[in-house]
Amino acid sequence: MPTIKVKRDDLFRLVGRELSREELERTLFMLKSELEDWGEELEISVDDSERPDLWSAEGLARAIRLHLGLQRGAPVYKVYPSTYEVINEEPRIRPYIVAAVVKGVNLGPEGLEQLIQLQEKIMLSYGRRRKRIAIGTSRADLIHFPITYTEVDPDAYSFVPLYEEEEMTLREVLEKTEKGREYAFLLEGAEKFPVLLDASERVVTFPPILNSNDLGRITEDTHDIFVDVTGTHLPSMITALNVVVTALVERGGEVHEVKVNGVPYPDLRPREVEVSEEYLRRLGGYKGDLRDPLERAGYTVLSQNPLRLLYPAYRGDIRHPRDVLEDLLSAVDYNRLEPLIPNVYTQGGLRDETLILDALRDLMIGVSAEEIQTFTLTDPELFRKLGLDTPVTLSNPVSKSYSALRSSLLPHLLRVLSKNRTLPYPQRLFEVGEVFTPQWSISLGYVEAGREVSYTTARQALEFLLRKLELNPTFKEASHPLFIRGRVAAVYLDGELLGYVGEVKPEVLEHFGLIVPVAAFEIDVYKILSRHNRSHH
Amino acid sequence: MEEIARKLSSHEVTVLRVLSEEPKTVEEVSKETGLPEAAVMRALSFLERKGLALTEKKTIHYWDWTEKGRYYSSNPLPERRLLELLKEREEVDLSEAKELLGDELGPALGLLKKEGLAKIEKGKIVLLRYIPSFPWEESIRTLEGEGLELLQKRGLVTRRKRSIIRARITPRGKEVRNLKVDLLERLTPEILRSGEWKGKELRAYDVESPVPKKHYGSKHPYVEFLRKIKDVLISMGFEEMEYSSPVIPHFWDLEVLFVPQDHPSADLGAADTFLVETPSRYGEIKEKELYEKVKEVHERVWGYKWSDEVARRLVLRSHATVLSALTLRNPKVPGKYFTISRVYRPEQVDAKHLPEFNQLDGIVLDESLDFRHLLGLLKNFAEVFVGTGNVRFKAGYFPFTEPSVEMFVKHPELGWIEIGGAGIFREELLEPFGIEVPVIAWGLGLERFFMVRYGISDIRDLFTENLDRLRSIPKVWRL
Repeated sequence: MPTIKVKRDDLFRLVGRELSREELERTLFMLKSELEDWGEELEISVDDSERPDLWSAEGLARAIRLHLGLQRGAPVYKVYPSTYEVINEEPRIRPYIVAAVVKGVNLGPEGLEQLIQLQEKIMLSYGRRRKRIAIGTSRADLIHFPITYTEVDPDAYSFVPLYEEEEMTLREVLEKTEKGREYAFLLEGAEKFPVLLDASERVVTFPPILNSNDLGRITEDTHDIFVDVTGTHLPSMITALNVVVTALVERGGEVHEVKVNGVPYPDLRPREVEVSEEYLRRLGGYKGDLRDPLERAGYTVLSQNPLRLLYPAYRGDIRHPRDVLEDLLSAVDYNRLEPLIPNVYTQGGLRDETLILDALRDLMIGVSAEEIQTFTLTDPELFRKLGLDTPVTLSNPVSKSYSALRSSLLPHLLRVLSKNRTLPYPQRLFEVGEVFTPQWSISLGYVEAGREVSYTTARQALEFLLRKLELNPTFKEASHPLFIRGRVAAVYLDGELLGYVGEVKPEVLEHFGLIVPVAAFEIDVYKILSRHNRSHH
Repeated sequence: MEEIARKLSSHEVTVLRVLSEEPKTVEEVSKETGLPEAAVMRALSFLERKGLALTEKKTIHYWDWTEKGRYYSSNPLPERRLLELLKEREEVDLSEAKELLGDELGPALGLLKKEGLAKIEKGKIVLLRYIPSFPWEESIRTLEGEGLELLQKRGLVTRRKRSIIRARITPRGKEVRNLKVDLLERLTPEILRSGEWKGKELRAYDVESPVPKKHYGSKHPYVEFLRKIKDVLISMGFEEMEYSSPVIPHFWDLEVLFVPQDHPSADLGAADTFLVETPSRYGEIKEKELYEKVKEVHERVWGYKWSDEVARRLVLRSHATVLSALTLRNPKVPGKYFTISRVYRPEQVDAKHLPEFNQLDGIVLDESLDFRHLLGLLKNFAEVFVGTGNVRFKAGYFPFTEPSVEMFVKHPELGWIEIGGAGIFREELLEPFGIEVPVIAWGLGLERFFMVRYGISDIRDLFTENLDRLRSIPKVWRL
């Protein structure tokens, strides 16, 4: 979801008229965008990660003009024939290239800013951090055509990279420049590096890393631009080229074709799509005129029955009639459609888990316990120190405190007691929540702290719960890292282990800085549930 | 009068008993009754309100030691130490005296010189005359006498003030004290069994005075809030989705929702999702047929090479739509489902971000649905949950729905804020499940309302481990 910055005056100049803040906000709302900041510079977040045509002042202006009806139908672009050629020798690591030349562009400071921003945003998000798409822009007037897109030994060619002063080999570019270091991973393992060489064997650009400072340095005053798009995924590369080129047209550019191994690019002819009108009306619930909103969404209506449409070549996201439907309804404006409550009768209901948790929580209130909610993520160290394990751990934790999933509720409950040592006793706490042993389950954990607590009091509370749920537990001598030997029992339901109840070891209390006895239990809620379902069905 | 006597608390009776016409300080009363001073003060204020005692507050001024002075109250003053040394040795090197007395040497020597007891000669202090005591030496011990002002100038004693409360009994108090009221202090099983209570009255309590605070069992407010939301949803005919583990193969987190494996939000390296390290990095997808169909659709529509490794990578679910996808395996049609589930994101914890939180998500399946129902459903949620139908729709983007919409509502305190999104599941997503009716998917973010309603500005408070904080949040009894 890119956020882009555009100069307000520049945007309105491109739209052809000024808009009030309210009008701009309303329009952007239907272009999946939101005005984040209003001032001389506007900040606009564009939600759609498949609409790079909206990621520049030029593209937004075009979409706004269409939405407001200042322009209709799929924009028409002329591509001039030319002799520009690219020979693609298909470098293995990114075998595709498409290109175009745009002449007579008046960039100015705003246009240059937008061009750089658009390139960067496309490469980062739509281009998957340049893996799928890298875009280069160079001085068409300085290049000697034809260009060869080839792979070369990393030490065979040198050039001065953009904004650098000294000449470097391709290998050195990866080590010595910031972009080189940032994107070196894309060339990892490659024996040969991709490069664009002009007819004089000069490096034009070293994709996906950097342009040449001599041939590739675009300024506010550059008028003739060579745009190359290299990558691994041809359809999205074509869209990216068309997006950049048509944005430059908004600044007065004239598009000239470049033949890549004989195939001319860019192909800016609108694409055709056929949609069933019945489908649009049925799923859209829209009864009004179709032609007007479709034209304002950038479609040219060729015929209405069947509905044959042309859409602009900078839209790479139209794969399905659904995509046309969304454009249609946005042009109509969602806020003009009548919201209807679905006329679907269904019986609502809760899962058994929710119901049993309700019951358990009610009963725990009955034993005067206070409910706590802690994270399921935890610090494995906390568990390890208590002699417990956290079998589920994460590969990419953000911090150690949240680098594993808890296997028991008791450590967190003890921690809560420890954090509230200054408050009066007795304190009784419980939590219901997920645990991972590593099997996923839901647990009920209970701790009570106070002068008078003991194995007996904790077991009384547990027996009260189970009795109310018509369950008959048996208690067997057991050992458990948290509990005192001889004062802990394993709780069974019909031979199946339900959990443990006992008095917490003084070593554990000391670890938490507690100077008051604590008794506790923890039981597996799913065991209760399965036991119940068996006996009641 | 009897009425008053009957209502006296036992503390009041005890205090009243020791009061006399001569004023007594609180300290004295406390000593005589054995009650703590705070209890005496409380009882006195009640007695005074009933006209049984009178208290007077008097400010008294008195001398007290400063911190330094307190030391000299039981140790010799520096001038005394110097004088005693001179008495013993007749003369002392200045440097030695300095070592002995430090900073105190200057004032001590000045005093001895002023009193004509010593002089300095060639770097030595020489004794001229000896006296056994200075008048202020008595004062520093006793805080009395003429030397106090001098000591005050030297910063050894200071004048302090303190208010003391003294109380005496009023004539009315005496009358009440003399009344013979035979009251039972409390009922006991013995008294009840013996019938001793008959013909006697129980002492009345001062029922208007405060009692100590106590805490009982209570449900967690945020858990309760989420639970109330479930009630509202079932009242609208929604059925709760199955519970399931948040540890899932990446396939269920994104691919099954038609998000391509190379989509920015599916980029495993970009750290938008927690990856599982142990006990296993990879999981199995039991639904083999579904898996193959999803893979086929991805490769056909998105045109990339599917990776089994990515699909099987275990992650913590990053959004609750996963549960909706799981529900699509075997849904009722028509059907309405919802879930409130814990989801995980690798976020640094701060006032606005948590690594895990709850999401509310749902789906509606029916042949009759169209886009207007999506808007109506969202608007209805706004009415039910926020109490307003004042909503605005924005064209939204979710990789798994088209068209997609985000809803903003006019909240009385927060202004226009986004509370939810919805869309119609893409046909490419439904195809592998064999579902042919339209499916509306929606999600709502409600914790913000909970936070505003209960004055919580820091999202970490939803999981607070501070009992005071938790206890301060009132009971959630309706949304």
